[in-house]
Amino acid sequence: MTVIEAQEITKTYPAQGGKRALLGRGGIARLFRNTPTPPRQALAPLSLTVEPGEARGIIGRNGSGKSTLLKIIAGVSAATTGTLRVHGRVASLLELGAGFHPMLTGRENIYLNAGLLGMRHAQVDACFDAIVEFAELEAYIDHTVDTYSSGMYVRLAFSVAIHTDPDVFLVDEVLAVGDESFQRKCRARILELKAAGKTILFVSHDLGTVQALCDRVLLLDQGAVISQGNTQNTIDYYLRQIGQASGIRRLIHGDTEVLFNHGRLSLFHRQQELTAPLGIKAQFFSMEAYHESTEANWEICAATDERLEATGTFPRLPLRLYIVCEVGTAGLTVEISWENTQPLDLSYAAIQCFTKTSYTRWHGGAASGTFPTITADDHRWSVVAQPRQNVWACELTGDESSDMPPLCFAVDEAHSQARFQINNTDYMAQARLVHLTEAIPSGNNPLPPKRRHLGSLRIDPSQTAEQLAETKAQRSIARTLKTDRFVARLHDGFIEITLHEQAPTTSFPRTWESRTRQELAETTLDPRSRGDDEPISPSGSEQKLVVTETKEYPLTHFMHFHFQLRVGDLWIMSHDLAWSETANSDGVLSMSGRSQRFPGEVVWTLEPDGPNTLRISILLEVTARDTETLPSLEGLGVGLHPDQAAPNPPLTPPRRGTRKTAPPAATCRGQIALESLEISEYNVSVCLVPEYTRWETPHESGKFGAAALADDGWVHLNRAYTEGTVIKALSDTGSKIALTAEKTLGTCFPTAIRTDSGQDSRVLQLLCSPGQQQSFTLGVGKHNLFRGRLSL
Amino acid sequence: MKPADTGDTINAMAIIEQAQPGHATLRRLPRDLIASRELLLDLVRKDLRVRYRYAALGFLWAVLEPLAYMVVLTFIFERVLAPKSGTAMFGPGIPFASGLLCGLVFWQFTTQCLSAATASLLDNQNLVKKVCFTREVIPLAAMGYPTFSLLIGFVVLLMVNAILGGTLGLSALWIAPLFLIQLSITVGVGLFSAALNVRFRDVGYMVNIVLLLGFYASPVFYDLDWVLAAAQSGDVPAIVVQAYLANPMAELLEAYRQALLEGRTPNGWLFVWPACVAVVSLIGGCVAFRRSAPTLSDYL
Repeated sequence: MTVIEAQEITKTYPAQGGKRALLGRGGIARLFRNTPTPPRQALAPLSLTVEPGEARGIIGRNGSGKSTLLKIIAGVSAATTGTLRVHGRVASLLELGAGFHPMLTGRENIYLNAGLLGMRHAQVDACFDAIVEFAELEAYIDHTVDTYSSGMYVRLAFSVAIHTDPDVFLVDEVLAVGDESFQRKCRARILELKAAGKTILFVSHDLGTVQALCDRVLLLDQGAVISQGNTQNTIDYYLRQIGQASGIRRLIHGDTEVLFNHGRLSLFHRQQELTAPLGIKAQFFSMEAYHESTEANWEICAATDERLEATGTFPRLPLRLYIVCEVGTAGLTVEISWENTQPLDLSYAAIQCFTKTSYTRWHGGAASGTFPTITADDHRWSVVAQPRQNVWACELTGDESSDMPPLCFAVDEAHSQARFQINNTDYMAQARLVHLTEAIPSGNNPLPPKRRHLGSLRIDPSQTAEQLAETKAQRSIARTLKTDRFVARLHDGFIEITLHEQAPTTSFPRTWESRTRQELAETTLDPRSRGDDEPISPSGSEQKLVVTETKEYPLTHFMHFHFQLRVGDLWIMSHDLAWSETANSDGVLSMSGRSQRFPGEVVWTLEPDGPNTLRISILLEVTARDTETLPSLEGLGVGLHPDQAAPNPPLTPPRRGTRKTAPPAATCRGQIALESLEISEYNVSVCLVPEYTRWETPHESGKFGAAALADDGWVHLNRAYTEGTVIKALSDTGSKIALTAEKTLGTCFPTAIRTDSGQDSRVLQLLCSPGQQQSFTLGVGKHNLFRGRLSL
Repeated sequence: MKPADTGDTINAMAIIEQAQPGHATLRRLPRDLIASRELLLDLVRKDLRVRYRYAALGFLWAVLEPLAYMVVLTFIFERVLAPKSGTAMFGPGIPFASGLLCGLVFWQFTTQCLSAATASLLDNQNLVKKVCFTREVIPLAAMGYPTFSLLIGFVVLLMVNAILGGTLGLSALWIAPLFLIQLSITVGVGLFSAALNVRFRDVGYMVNIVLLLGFYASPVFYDLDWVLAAAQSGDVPAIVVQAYLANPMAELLEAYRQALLEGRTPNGWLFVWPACVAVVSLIGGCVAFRRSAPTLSDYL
């Protein structure tokens, strides 16, 4: 049995003007001018059948007849010809609160509005409390509606409409009501209705929601059905064909096809859309609200088949966006920059790439993982992974069975401020999100008018995972240090510790996640050998190679061993730095890291001490650099002093006059040279695998416990911060790992931390604080930040 | 198909019908109206509430307003105009105030109903354009407030009549059929003009002018006999008198007065023409409104 059955219905709106000027809105003047507007046909003959329990989306451009069709089904307007049968009660959410009178109380309006929607008093009485509760208006229900905020008004209206318990719901763009949390509630409610077998007809321009909600989609254009059927195909078709005429541009090169739609990019590969309907867009946080590139008014400056330049202006924000995108053999390159025409408070800028959920795995730098499945309970976006800052590329891949090409997101390395974040979206949006964010320290605001580069992103659907791994291996520097019991792998600002044993001992039961690795015997024979990270290929055929099988047990996880420095408003993490190898002697591993934003160099030295101990030292060398090379030093807590040789020294007084160090001769005259670096605190941490269940400091001990879903960020587990130099983690099977400090700056506090469930790590941290002083003031020269050991 | 939870399939059926107003027939009208009676009452209640909600005297205004109107008119006609005309406006033994009030109360009802009903669809266009319900409810609800003032006016009339020494006989029961006739005419014309006003916005203004004219062309502050006498004397052309009598309110107001103030059964001929008009206008108004109801929103 069908719920809605429309046969060849048409709708013609009456003429206005001319001889019938007296009709409708026409005026007498029109009568004399005799300029009739012809009757407008809003719907060509249209047939439609909707089955019970179906959620049908209706999409199309403005004026394509979507709302007319809904009005006819709702009974607000009649079809000019054709027959329409609707079985069951229909509730139209065409306009919320249409029947509300501002001078009546919320209670009176509920009865009135429900009455208009076809309910009787007895029926309203039965669900009155539910209506009020859903609208969250218990305290205000007897106040007149004109005292309500617009959000309260809409909440009440939606609540009444949703509680009328009809068989067919007609929804016309009304989901965009209220604040974010109420919107989610509305969507959840609509999904509940769908699950309860109600029929839903849904008109929206929000293709993401249409896709998440609807089983089938009807595409209308100029009152005629263009396409009807599978949601995905119809939306694709709409974007490509119908949208083309309305300011949507298409770039194409080979198999790669890109659609630019008012600040949103969609990527296709062999006719298949790789991005989710939300596409690729830019987002800003300013004036206490998020602003998206799709809200801007876009103007296409130059466009060819393969390249597009567009400028977007925000209507209510002194912000202009520039997008240059190009498709070529290397996939899609998007370059986004932004310019504020007036000083502007802006704390966050990001490029968001929403992709299909058929991408199930992510790879970022050396780490990789699987996306959790998005369930109906996911009302919020969740962070799946946050690779370190100098990861220049991340990749999403589908299942082996899926035909989705691997999608590689690469950012230009010169732009080191941006940071990747890999997220899952909420249930309605149904997408994976690769987020390239740039946080702007609050100390910098308001930002002076300037054009800034947000990021340049290369998205390459044609590059395969192997090619990517190859490039990755070329670029990423990793060095390993081996002892008889463990391997320390130093890469990207992390030290990854892996235990290796020929045969599992009792302390590591089989449940401990392990991986088997085949290695050249030669390398295992020499415990202190270091070589390239992946010595897999048996290159020298003359050498006699003995392959042994080793069990490996990763002890560290997620962010491994790393350190963080707080300079001014910014945390600088070891993985934010660009690492390079320094001269290494036998058995000692040393690497140095630098950053554009950080006036110094960090040198790590790793040295094995016996089979179970790894000695680690972290040396910070503050270098004097002229500020020209430090564009983003504003906001950092660095003390500067004017060069004495300068003929016209700038008026900026030195922040700290003591401990002056002579600037090196290389410093340019007339420029401000760095004098000292102020670090407010720093820490060294090691993220352990979840098999470690307990922690121990000299003063306290406790259990790590399982990560709760409600945890927001990292949870500190120790009750007091007491000075100490050692912290241990123990597993249920008795194996332990200890982090010991031998020398640090200031006071050292051992801290045990549990991360959120997504990161699923146990963290041992040694927190170094300057104590009474405000911060550590480090002059130009070398400073030993940490010397200590990690012992098994 | 799932019936509504309280098991009233009639309501559910009504909504199915509403969903396709193109097929809404006259036959269904009573059923639709019964189904939406609560909505009608809610709308009337809303109208009354909203009118007096923020006034300090509140609901008292509903009494004071028509009362003040009648006091002013009575004063003008009785103290200012009546002495100059020199003749008795109404039949023997009827005080001018009672006669005027009797005409005024019933005339005001029709006037207020028609002007409110005519404008009602435009005033409530946000409802008509967005929500589907029995459209007749809107002009009918607009007649709620005039009905309310009629009740108050009627009580005032009875009190004034008693004070001025009038008596109330059994003949007063005749006002029931008389009012039924008047109500049918008012509802029929009101529905018609409401529907017409959506297409021709000029209708609203014309209705108000006609009503203004009707105030003088109906025996509100004078007696019908006065007009008939003038006709017999040949002062007025017969065609004008015919036109005058074609206004059913002429007969109705006279009949009200006979029943209420003169205490006798109204003359039979006073019923005939208004009853015919009532039947025609009620059916015509409902048909016209039903016909235009499905496309009302297209013209708003």
